[in-house]
Amino acid sequence: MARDFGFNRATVATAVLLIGLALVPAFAALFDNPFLVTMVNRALIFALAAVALDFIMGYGRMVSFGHAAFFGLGAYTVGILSTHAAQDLPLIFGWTGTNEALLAWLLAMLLSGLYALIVGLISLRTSGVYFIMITLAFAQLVFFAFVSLSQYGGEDGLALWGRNTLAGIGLDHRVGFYYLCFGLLLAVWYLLHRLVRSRFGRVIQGSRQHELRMRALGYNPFPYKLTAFVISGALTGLAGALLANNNEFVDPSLTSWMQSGNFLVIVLLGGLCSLVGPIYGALALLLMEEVLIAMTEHWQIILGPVLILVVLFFRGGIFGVLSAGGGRHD
Amino acid sequence: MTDAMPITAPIFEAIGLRKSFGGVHATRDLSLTLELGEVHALIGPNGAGKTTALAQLSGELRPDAGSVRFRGQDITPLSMAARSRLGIARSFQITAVFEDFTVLDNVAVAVQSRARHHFAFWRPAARDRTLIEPAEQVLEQVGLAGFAKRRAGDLAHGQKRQLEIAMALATRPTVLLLDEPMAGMGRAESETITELLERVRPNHAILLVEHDMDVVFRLADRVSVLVGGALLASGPPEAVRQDAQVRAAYLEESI
Repeated sequence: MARDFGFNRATVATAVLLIGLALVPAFAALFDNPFLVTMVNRALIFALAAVALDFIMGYGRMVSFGHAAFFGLGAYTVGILSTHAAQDLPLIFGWTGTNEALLAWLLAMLLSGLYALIVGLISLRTSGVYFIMITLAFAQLVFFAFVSLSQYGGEDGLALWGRNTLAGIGLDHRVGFYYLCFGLLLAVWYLLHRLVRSRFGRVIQGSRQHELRMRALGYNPFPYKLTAFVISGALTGLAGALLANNNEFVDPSLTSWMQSGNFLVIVLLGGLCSLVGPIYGALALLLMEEVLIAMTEHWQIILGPVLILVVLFFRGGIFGVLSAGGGRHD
Repeated sequence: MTDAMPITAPIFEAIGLRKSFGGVHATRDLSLTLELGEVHALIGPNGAGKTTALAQLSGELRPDAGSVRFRGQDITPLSMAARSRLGIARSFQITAVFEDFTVLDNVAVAVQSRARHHFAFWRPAARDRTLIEPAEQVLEQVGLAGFAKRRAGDLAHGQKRQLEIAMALATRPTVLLLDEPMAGMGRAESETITELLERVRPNHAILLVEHDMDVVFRLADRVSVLVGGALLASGPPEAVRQDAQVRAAYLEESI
């Protein structure tokens, strides 16, 4: 129906969100609160990962409880490459890493995507609880691998020597980096928005709704699901690369199961199967954390019931409530 | 025919299918043939193994013994998806439509299945004329043209049954395996589909599992009766109707 009227509530909810995000640095300048930019920037990065997760979870019912693995792999790729570059230490075949974002982030996506290919090849032969457990197991594998990487800080993590440079330009400018992350989030969102509506997306969504029927129509869903899983993993790796730059620090907790849980929470809170919802979800989670942590250190005690209420009564999450038609618009 | 050889083989053939689940023999030595331009009805009481037989013909189940042949080729090892791509379509007894898609998109996905590949990531499928136009034609045929934009999950039961058949037809099959297509349809809908099957009969080979005897005797060129997983009788409708064994086993109450 959106096309008939030019806009509807879902479009408005999306537009308001994007305009609001674009204006955050202006607000921060107005109220002389630069911390606001850093805070929302963090949310944008988590949103990027959550949008990538929603792509497979909402549209393909692939509930990955291991997306932190791709997030962490992306982050560590940046961390390790920049450490080597800064110290001029050979990493592999005499190559001393790089601090160039174009190369480092691409490698982050490549490695995360490759790992997603391995995880997907095995986990996508199962579904439901088994899928959840296998993706979790693969993420734990990465977690313990990073913990045992003592030359890169092991459990303590690895501090970066500085942010990457993008085509030679430093990324230390707070607002510049914010808009870069915002732009990448928009690009990823638009890419996935197109993807779910393409022929490829039709196969993914059809397989979610009735896999047996898809087979009866002549489709073999596996290669399509695997492709979607790899795309999602690679994009989550990109989010990890951004977070490494944002924090100038990486540690194994990025790949912990709690991090995977965070992504699931963000998607459910914001609205499954909407792609826009997770952006709301990331902002909401961050806001709750900021507000509630001032009241109690155990702020998740409040988050838990809120999440249960959302899942019970607002299936479409925040975006579903805002667009009133439910999260699933097309 | 003066030539004794070669006899034209049936387009679709099941030979000696057997399937058991634990100790239950669901299919016992079942053989049947489908010819182009023919409606072959498979009837039998509940639990006779009709759906199990159809699952083996469509490739959803692998038989314990026996083979399935299409155009003379042994397709027993082929998956349901592979058989579908050869031109063997099935409909489901329990309605299997994509509830979150529109009616049009349900059929468009079926049309799309005939394209060589689906790794097209960018163009919106909803505006793809090569998918929409054939889909609209099929919806017209089954009498759902007015419901194209409706969400499939919101259709009435009978309409979902019509959509079920539309999806099978949209794959442009040669063989149609229909599992109780009219079950739960109203009179008018059932009539629409009966007429549709009559229209598409000339260039299809149709296996019709059906409970509605009026439909069976109106459409069928041949009727096979399945009881306890085995064929009790097979032949022209009138002969089967008169068969004493069949009357005793099954037809008594419905004729």
